[in-house]
Amino acid sequence: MIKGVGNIFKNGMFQDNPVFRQILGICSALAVTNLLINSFAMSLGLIFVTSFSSLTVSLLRNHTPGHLRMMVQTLIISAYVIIVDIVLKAYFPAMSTALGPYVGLIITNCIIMGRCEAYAQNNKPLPSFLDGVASGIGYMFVLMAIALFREFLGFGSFFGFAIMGEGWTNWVFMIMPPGAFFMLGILIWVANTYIPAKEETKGGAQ
Amino acid sequence: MKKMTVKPILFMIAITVVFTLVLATINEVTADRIALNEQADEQRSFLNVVEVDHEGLSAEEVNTLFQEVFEEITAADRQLYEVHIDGELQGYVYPMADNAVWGELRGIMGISSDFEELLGVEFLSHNETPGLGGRIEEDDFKDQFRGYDISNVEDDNFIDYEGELDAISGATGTSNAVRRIMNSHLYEFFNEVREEL
Repeated sequence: MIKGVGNIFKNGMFQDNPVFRQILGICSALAVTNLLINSFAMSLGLIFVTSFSSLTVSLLRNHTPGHLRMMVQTLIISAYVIIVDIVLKAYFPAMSTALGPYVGLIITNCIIMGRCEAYAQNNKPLPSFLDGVASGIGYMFVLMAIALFREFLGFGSFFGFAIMGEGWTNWVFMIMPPGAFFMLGILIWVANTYIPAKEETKGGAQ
Repeated sequence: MKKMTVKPILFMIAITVVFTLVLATINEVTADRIALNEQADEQRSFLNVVEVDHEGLSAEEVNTLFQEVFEEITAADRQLYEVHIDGELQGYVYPMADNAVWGELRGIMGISSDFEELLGVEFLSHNETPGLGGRIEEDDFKDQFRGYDISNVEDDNFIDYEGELDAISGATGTSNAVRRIMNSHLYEFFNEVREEL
């Protein structure tokens, strides 16, 4: 069991990382990573949605008629995303404005449906939940890494605290979306060089 | 022909009802708070126009401050706001709304109490292209209007982009729409509303 949990996290965060290995969830990874705090909030939202969607899909998996599963998954995912959206609007309005349409777009984030379809549909609730958390953390890990560099270079700050002093010249390019393309490209390059690819034995999802 | 079963239909109905109930409950519980936050957003724009500091205030505190500073009045059948700071009349905030390039643009203008200059401008909602016309939201554009001289004007030519004001490069349509909307509303203000103040 412990080893199983370890594997789920290792796969979700590194070997099968949703962003730099499966290249999923790219649009939000590019859009909200100009500030660490935005990336952090977005990631928490995604972890919540992925984990609870996986849990719910897994709980219902033996009762869901096979040909309806996509509809049911979409319904479940949308419900959790709407919860995140409402909570942000009600209690963190500034964050809601900063993330803009990207919260609602979590619904179409391929990571979530990917995990529901590839894992939760065939596994018990608890491992499915952990798998969702692991993939969410994998996503968070990438977003925070990109945001760390973009915020540092673009604003000379770390979580909003100016750390570079008066003489620092902001790289405006890093604040704009194209900056994210370059950071993401570099990250995928580094990841592919240093994190060994899983051996392809069976092929496809387990 | 494949046999029809009712189970999938019942299953979908049941699961939809459950999720809808949960979401409806959450929506109901938070509706007031969200309405208050949205109201506070507009009120913050009003406070920006007259440069009253509202940094770090909660939605309730913004509402209180708004009530202190602004008083809604009607003149010539038009709604506008008097601005009182430290008990003195500082000017008026006049709302504007008209079609811009892609849809309705709503905004507010602050006009000083001697009617000689603009206090500031804010845009409450618009549908302009993000990154192009949408840049009217940026402080660099809006701050140009602070203290802008609108005395000694012929006809309705209150603002133009030939002197102190810069239009947004790449967004001539939106810049011109903003000019048209501001000029027509200022004209309305000076020719109809002002006499009744």
